[in-house]
Amino acid sequence: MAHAVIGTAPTRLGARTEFGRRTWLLGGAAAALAMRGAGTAHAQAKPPLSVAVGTDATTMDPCRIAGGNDYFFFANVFEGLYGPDEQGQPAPLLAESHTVSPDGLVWDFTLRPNARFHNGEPVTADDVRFSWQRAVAPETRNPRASVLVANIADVVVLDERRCQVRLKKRDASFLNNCGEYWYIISRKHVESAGENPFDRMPIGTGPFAFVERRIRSYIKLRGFEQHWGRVPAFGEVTLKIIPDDQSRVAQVQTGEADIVINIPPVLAAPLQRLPNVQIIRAPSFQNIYIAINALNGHPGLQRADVRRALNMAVDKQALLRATMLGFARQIEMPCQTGIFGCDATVTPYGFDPTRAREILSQAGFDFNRPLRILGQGTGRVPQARETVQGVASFLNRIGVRTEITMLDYGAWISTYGAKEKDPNVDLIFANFTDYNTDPSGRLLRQIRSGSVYSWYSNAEIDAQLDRMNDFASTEERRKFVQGIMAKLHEEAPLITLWTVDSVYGVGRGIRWTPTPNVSWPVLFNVQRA
Amino acid sequence: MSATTTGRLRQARRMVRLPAWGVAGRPPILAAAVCLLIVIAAIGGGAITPYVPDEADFTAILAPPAWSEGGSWQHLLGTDQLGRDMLSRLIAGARISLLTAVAAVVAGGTVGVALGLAAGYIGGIVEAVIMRVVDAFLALPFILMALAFVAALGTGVGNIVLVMVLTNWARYARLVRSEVVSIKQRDFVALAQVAGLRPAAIALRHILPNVMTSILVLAVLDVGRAIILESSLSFLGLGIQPPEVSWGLALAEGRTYMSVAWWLTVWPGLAIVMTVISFNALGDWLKAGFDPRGRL
Amino acid sequence: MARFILTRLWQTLITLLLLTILIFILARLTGDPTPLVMPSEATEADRNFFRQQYGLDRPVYEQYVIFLRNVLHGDFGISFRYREPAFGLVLAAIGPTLQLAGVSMLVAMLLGLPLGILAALRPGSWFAAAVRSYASLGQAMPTFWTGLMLIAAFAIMLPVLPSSGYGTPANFVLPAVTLGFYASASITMLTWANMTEALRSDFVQMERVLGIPRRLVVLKHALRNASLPIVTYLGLQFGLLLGGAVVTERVFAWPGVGQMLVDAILNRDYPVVQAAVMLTAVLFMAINLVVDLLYAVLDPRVSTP
Repeated sequence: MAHAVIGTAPTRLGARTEFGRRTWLLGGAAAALAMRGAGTAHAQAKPPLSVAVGTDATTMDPCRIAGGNDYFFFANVFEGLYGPDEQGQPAPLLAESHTVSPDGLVWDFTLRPNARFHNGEPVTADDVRFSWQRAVAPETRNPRASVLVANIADVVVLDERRCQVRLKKRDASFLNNCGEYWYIISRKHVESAGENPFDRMPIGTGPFAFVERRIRSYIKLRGFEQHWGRVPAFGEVTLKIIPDDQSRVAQVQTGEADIVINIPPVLAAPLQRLPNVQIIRAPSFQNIYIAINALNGHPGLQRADVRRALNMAVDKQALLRATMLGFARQIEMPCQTGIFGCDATVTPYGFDPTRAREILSQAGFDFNRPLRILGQGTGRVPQARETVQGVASFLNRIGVRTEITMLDYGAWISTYGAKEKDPNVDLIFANFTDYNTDPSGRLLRQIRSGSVYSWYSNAEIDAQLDRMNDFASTEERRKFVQGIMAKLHEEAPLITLWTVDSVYGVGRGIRWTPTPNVSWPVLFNVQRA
Repeated sequence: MSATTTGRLRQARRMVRLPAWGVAGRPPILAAAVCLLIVIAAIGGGAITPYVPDEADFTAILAPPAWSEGGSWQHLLGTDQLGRDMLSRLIAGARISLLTAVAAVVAGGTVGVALGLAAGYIGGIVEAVIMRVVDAFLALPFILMALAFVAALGTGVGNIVLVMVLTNWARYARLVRSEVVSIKQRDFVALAQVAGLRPAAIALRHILPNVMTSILVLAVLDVGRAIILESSLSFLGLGIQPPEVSWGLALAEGRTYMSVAWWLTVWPGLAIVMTVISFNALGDWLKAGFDPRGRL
Repeated sequence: MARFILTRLWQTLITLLLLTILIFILARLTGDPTPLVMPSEATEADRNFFRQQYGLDRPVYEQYVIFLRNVLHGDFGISFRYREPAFGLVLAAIGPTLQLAGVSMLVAMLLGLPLGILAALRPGSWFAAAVRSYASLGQAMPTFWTGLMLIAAFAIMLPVLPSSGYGTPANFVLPAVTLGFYASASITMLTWANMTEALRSDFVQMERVLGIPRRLVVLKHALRNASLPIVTYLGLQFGLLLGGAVVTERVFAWPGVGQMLVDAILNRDYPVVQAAVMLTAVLFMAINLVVDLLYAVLDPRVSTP
């Protein structure tokens, strides 16, 4: 029992375990605390759970997260002051309440009395301060600091359970982003564990605690018995890493895994017929679309009416049914249901190829010059190839010639995210995953001109986007964002397609309602049937 | 490696395919017929396909072959996940698969033979340098090499051919060089030199023809290997990309649907296997005819 | 003899050096890894720091010199993706690959040797024809297809074996059979050919004439004479299995070097690509070297070059 609490370093990583005397003493103290708390005995009696996932985590350090792929690990092992609840809406997690000053710059948080780290230590306001300090420290090199922690001027410790966060600029997305961009870590753990403290033993506050890991093979977690409110029903959880779709899906067919995530739509249908497997869908925030090069590609694409016409030329419902077999939801806007401010009223583009062709002719579209489409060849996104080919064939039907180039993921993202956009690319298949219900992530990194994934430029919209977070009143902000969304619908910088459903394969002995609007599995509410 | 060891090891490796029947033996009619069929399909390409191989038809997705329940004679071998006709894709795939394989073999062979000739005939520092480079290229199992090249050069038909040439040429170079080294000692070469012929002329007109048969046998046996290499690359997502179609790509694309639509993987798989077996049988027969003792 | 060994070693060293150049160039040609490593939220300053940290902003020849110097110390740099030393990652992955290669080799020998010997003893029979077909098929079937069919048969339709993954002895069965089947094809034909030739040799005929029972003749002489090329071939085949298992590893989610390499290429993870290719190449060349030397030692007819 003491093992699991102190954290015997997983030797498979090849890193030597170096624990100073202080750690052993602290560990001993922690062990004593844990023994007193109801816990370890229970952990032994609880059944194991095995989950097959598709990619390995690239890091276990919350200040070094580089992409959405890692959240399957972090969302289960770490928490912020606020974060998604079971409906995917922002709710108090480590904080039990907060107040905010009228100018939106000073936030007071009160922490839960029973919030603990995996090593048994209570979560204090000092840990919150330390989490901020580490996240912005130059030597940490946090690549995502600019989103949230860099905007914090100071974190003041009021008492053991209360802290005050002072922002530099008003930011309406602050609370929402706490869930994904500011995980709370333990000062004691980091200061005593030496270099790269999270590589060998990451300590967080989430419903699951880290046990051991074999890179590219599996990650073992255990249910954290002392969690403040989300104690899992399982003892040991193994996340098996199986990149190959077919092999991964086979795991739930044979019963080797209880849950399989990211099932491609085509494999889901036949699985539904099996008696020992249930297919569970939940809406996610992974958007699929075709970005239009409105900067320096085909000259016709620089006109908004042409871009709208392209949207009208594609029968998105038919394409969705054919390629995604219904495991997706068509979206009209550059955002989806559930995103704040996305509920603007607009007239849908509709499917009208004849009208689309008319518009193109009237606009003087050069039909002799083909549209060059960049697609993703290797399957990180389900049905990526088929989607591009489908869109191309719809465009062909209204007389627009297309040339498709499929690239592997590395080449694709180098082109999509290049500083200077390639004029030889007119349309790019792309996907963007929002991490929470706040719209600023996508709008600022995919629409605003000059941002990494933006192939569009409009000074008026840029000005609006820059003001988007500078609101204290939620209602005012909502109206403002709705206005932006409506304008973007008119401008049509993308051929919007759909959001992909998260498709899970679950064994019959499991009962689970996956959290909607997250694009990774949140496992604390998995139950035995 | 020493020449003798090389020779023995090569002997060991080549004996792999020595058939048990006698010298030359029965010509493999069936194999030749299959090869011919594939070649016709490859040359015909888009002109002889019943449908446009890349045209999607969303009303007929995942239709089973004509004789199965739910199939129709409109699509003899069924359709794939975008409603594209499998027979057409198979024929179009023959073109790309065979073309890439043959191009790789021919181009790789030419480069390899040229360098091998140079190395073997000129000798000295040229030979040493070339052979060390050959060793470097042969130090890696071919798929590893292919992957590294694809990562560097990118995917697509042109690049894949280039990749296969790069992984292939070294074997020809090594073979030709050792053949040349042994032929060089022979009388007729000495005579030619005495007669004052230029080295290039000797190499091309007298030595090369003697090596041709070995090259030919290696080339024919290589076609099958190249097809499998291309299909492996496409399977990993690093080979031929849509809208081109090759058998390997069709296999890779159809693989996700394997449990619901067996015909998507079985037809391309069978095509690969049949073609490779046929070319190998042809190559074996050639080898038995030209080189029964396995001198190669 | 000693001269032969020295020459081979010297040749190997030069080849290794050329290999480092080749690997370096290839990895660099894959393009800028920054968009892959840095998230979209990163600032320009972050990206520049990354480039600087990995020396990506220096001229190519300088990067090569640094690379070579580090390689000689066994340092292939830090993986862009996992932020761990690349060499360590690859070393951890070599274990499973070696194990799979070993077991596959065993399967290949258990299938190939007996089939080859028996076919040689019964030329022209239906058995020989069947063995020939087996060998043809084995060389013509792409390993991923074999693997997929086996999974469909023995893990899905008849759930007796695990479909993928690594950890238990049962996990070895399907991947080893897939690779073993492929490797056994050539071993079968080689054994067959060599046995046939050994059986036809003069002194074997002599022993037959003298009336020594066939079985003894086969076991003692034919086998012994056939064994040398077979053994050397097995060595080579092992090396091939090391690198050639890439596709099989993918199908069976085997955490070996092949899978690691494919992932690293897709993610533009230079350090890992370099480390994986280098390590595999070195292993392969080491095996070749050992095989060569073994041959030289065992076969007294080999002279120095």
